[in-house]
Amino acid sequence: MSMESPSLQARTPLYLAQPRIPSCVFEGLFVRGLEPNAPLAKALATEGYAPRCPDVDYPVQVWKRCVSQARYLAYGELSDSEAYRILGRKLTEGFANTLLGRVAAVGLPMIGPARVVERLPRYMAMMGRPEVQVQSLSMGERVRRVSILDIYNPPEFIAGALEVALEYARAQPIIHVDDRSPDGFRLLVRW
Amino acid sequence: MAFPPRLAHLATRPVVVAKLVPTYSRAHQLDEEEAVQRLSHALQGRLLPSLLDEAWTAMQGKSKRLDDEGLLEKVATTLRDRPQRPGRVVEVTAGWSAFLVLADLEAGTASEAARRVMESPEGRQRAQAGLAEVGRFLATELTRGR
Repeated sequence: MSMESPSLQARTPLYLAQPRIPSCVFEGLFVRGLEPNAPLAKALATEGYAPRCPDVDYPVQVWKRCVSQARYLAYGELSDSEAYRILGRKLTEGFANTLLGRVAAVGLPMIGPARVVERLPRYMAMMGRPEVQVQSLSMGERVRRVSILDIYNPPEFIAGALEVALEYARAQPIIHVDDRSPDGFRLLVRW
Repeated sequence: MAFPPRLAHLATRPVVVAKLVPTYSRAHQLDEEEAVQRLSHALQGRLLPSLLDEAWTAMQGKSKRLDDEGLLEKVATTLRDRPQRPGRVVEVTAGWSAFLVLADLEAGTASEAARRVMESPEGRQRAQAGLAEVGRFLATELTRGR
């Protein structure tokens, strides 16, 4: 099944420039969110991420490989969808404890879940992904269908990350991956 | 610039760095030498006068009994014996976080994504609140003496 929104399909994603992921996002997931076991710490170093002397940012491919290493080395016994959802949750939990994350997270309880979903493009930009196109369609007071054009992160990873952001906004979310395509995915978000 | 010029002569960049560096180095998990270097670099430009401005406002608000001359004397007394005595380590709140991100931007060690966040209307609001909070901390550090 392909994505329903014709306007979303018609747009050309801005993938020409390779996104760069800020080191605080790496810090959020791999230092503050997860406590890497020795094999994972070694694998992250091999992929180019050194937590003790990080670069300002990293190519998205480094991010992708590091997340993939974490999937197998931290949650190897789980299915892809379970593992990536947990990793997504760890990302938001950890990022909210970084300096930049604290600046953003302090407002979440005040703005509420609907505005968290509205601000998803802003949060993606904060994570180094300003090019990601997000469309949110209201299906009711507490239901949104959210289409995200992201080819680098698994849908469950973003679902897990959004779940925690909504929890910080004092909601109890249920997020299903509704659809996936080569260009992105669609989430059904309820709270 | 609202603060008197003498405040800048007393609370020089090395003095302000000494007060902030323990919290800065802990927040970044850096050794002190590197933290001093980065923070000194961050305070080379407009951040230091903005911080002194906030510190001066906080001092004036706190010590209603003292006039400006009296306040400056209190700062001079505090800094007389050991001007670069390290400041207290404080818990990094959202306000401190915003200030430390500003410092990283000034030092050139923060990402473009951080710049985008801090340049948004909400980011500016948080930055201002952060400056005020760290200004209050600095005011306390500069007036702790007899």
